[in-house]
Amino acid sequence: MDYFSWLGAEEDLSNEALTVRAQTLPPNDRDRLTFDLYFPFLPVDSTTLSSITTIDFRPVADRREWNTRGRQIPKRTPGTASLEMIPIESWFKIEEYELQKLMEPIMGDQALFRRLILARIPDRVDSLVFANRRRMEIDASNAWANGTIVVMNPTLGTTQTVSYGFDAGRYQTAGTAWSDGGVNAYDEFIAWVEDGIDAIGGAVGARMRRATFQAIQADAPMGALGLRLTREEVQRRVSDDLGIDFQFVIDENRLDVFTDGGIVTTRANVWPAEKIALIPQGVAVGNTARAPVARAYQMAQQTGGEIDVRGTAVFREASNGGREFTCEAQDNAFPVPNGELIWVIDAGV
Amino acid sequence: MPIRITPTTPGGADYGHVTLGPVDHTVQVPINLTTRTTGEIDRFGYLKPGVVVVAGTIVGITVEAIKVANDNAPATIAALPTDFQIGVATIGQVLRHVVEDNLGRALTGGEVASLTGATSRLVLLG
Repeated sequence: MDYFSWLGAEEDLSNEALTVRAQTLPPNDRDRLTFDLYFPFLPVDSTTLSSITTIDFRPVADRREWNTRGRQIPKRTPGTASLEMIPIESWFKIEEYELQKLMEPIMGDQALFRRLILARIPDRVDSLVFANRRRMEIDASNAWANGTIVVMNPTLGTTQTVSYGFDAGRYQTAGTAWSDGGVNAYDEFIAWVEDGIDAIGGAVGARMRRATFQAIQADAPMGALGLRLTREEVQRRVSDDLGIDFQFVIDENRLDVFTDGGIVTTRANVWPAEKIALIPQGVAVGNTARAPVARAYQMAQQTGGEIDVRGTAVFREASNGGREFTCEAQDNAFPVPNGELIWVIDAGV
Repeated sequence: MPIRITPTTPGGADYGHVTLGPVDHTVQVPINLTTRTTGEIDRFGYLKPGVVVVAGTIVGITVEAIKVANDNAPATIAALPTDFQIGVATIGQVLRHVVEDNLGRALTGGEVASLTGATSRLVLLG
């Protein structure tokens, strides 16, 4: 019986049990993640996605003389794109010495084993699940703010940037930074939002970093008694100026991103500096497509459908004669923004 | 007794696993610990994972932190055995970035040469 036979025999530590547990975890890591709000999950059948862009073509007919024919409306075909995703995966290993230390207090006592080991290994699996969800958060933010996906080789640390190919007009850059003394950031913001509403058909707010909002706040019209408007007042003033309910979403959330193929991380902001994105009506900018994990099909069958094959799938394996235990969590998930709902500007502040 | 909060142990990151994929081939070899540095033996006296070991024609890498001393003071290291037995992996894929993060330094030219040499069955990734 190899070292990990205890783990294998314990049904709460089976692939199926760990996967079921992983899939019950909330997607947003105690409300620190927002990707499921702007990019709600969408089940898809394949890791190869075909997307069709919508056409913004609003032709106008003309009048004609009697007994003649009027304006021909030509057919316009939308652009299509094929998106190929690769999995998100995180893992951890337990080597023999660590397992020895884990098992020593409970050797032979199954009740203690359940109390101690069951509390530890599933907890470590939870960390894998949330690491995957944070990757979805970073990718969704990057896809929205920059129209790109940046993939880092988890072993070598090399990166590859892939563009969604959105219309360049939807990603603007302020000619002069809004922090410049000759520019009124508030007026620039209002004008940009108004153009954006025309482009995407309605908005409920804007997502930005705190420094960007402070620049807008600094140039906003003064309030009563010549006092600078508070954040709430700026929001109300913008709503009044635009004639719609409008909300500022200030995103200073930060995650620990690996710098290369090693274990060193750097705490980086999820939302890039200086970028403002208009939040469309309905809030969602696109979807997080979730494709089936092929290795999970058998688990789904064995659990009678308790496992969602498109959800996080957890697998564990023993090697080195049972002296090594590896646990990994996989998601086939990919953000797919709707190009027609994107309106982003680099404000320079 | 007045209320107080006393930090006992500092938190920190654990060592990363230095191999990608299963480690199915390990062997016990002697290692001269007196030649090891504080980058390879940590302050708690653990020989870190990712230490390159050459024993004759065997080229291996440590895969788990193993306690070899009480601390890593120079005098302590100098007094360690010259033929300490340790388990190393001899076949597998070595994550260079993780090794260097564990050791806190870049691999030396000699270590890289050992890992990529003719007698090594390890693949250095990175």
